[in-house]
Amino acid sequence: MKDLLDIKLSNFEGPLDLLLHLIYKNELDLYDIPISLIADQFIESIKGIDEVDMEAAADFIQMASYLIYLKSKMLLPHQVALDEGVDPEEEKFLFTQRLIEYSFYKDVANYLKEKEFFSQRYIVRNSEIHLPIEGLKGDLYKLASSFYKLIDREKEKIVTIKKDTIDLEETVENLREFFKDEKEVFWDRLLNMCNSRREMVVYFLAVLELVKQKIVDIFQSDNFENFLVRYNG
Amino acid sequence: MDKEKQFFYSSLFLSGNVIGLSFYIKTMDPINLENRLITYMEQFNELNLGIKIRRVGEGFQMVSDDEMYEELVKFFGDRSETLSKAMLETLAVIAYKQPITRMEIDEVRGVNSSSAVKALLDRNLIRVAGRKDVPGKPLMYVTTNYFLEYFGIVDLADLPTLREWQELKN
Repeated sequence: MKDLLDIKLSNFEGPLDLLLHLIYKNELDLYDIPISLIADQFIESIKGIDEVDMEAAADFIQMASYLIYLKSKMLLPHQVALDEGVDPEEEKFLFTQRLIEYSFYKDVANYLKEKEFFSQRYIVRNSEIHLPIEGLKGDLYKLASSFYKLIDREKEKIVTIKKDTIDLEETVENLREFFKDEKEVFWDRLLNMCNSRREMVVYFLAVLELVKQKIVDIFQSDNFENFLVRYNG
Repeated sequence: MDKEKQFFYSSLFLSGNVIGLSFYIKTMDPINLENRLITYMEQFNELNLGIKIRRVGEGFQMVSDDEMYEELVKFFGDRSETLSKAMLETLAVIAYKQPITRMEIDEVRGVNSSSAVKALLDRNLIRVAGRKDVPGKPLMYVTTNYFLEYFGIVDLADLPTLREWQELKN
């Protein structure tokens, strides 16, 4: 019994995973789980809980309380339970369905792992050829990610002592004039014009402001890649 | 070798990426096209050139032969990390139930899936596909075309069904 319950919770993806493990270890029938037994074992398993992650611990405790609830309902005489508005058999059925569904996805995950392994053995050519540029229709997540990646580069520090403020409105105006002449420019070229991280941030905000005002459009060929800023007529 | 076959091979070579059937429909005679392309693919693969054409993600892709993997990976391989258990489980749920919100994923897995979802977004295996029209307007996720390519799957319908799985279990 000790071996069975000598469980490291971090080995499991969550309470459902642990339940499946207990069912398997006890050689129980997934379609007819003895709730009482499973509830007891589950609680024993999580007694030694020393999860530092409160959220994960909470998931297990929540499951434990649900199992106790279900166990108690199943112990009631059938009619009493129905009077209380609970059909324990139905609840058990729904719970079983949930476990079965999870078990299915767990197996699919293993199936995918295998597919991953075999697929990775076919190496794909790193394409230097650019894909057709698609309009970046408001996918701010991608835009934000590429920005964070780009400002992570090393920048030579310029040691000059001068007033370190950059005006956003002024930058927006400057960029608007710049685009009127240049028509279209890649983002990394704009970045190269910046002397400090602060300036990069302001430039980025200015570009976003120009997008909002529909003065420019942005195009990006792939995630985290450089993007093109184009003046809108 | 006819022009059509040559075009097929050279376009796959130049792209490196998956080229969908739709591209070839535009450039070739569409009647019975898929079968012709599959034949070209098989003929090419029989040549055992160290490169192969595989069917993946509703299209075709030219890749190095998996038998050459050990020799080639040192020079050309992309040693990106394989996916964690949590990521695979999350991906499995999304693949079958898409579009699906993060909370709905949590319901199925019984745990919080936020970090897995974020990691999958970063890897371009899933993407946001709008918001669900319920209070809170949560984001909905779907798998990407790259997901099919990554796992070497032709089409989502090829994934095992719940019914098949249940029959296997019994």
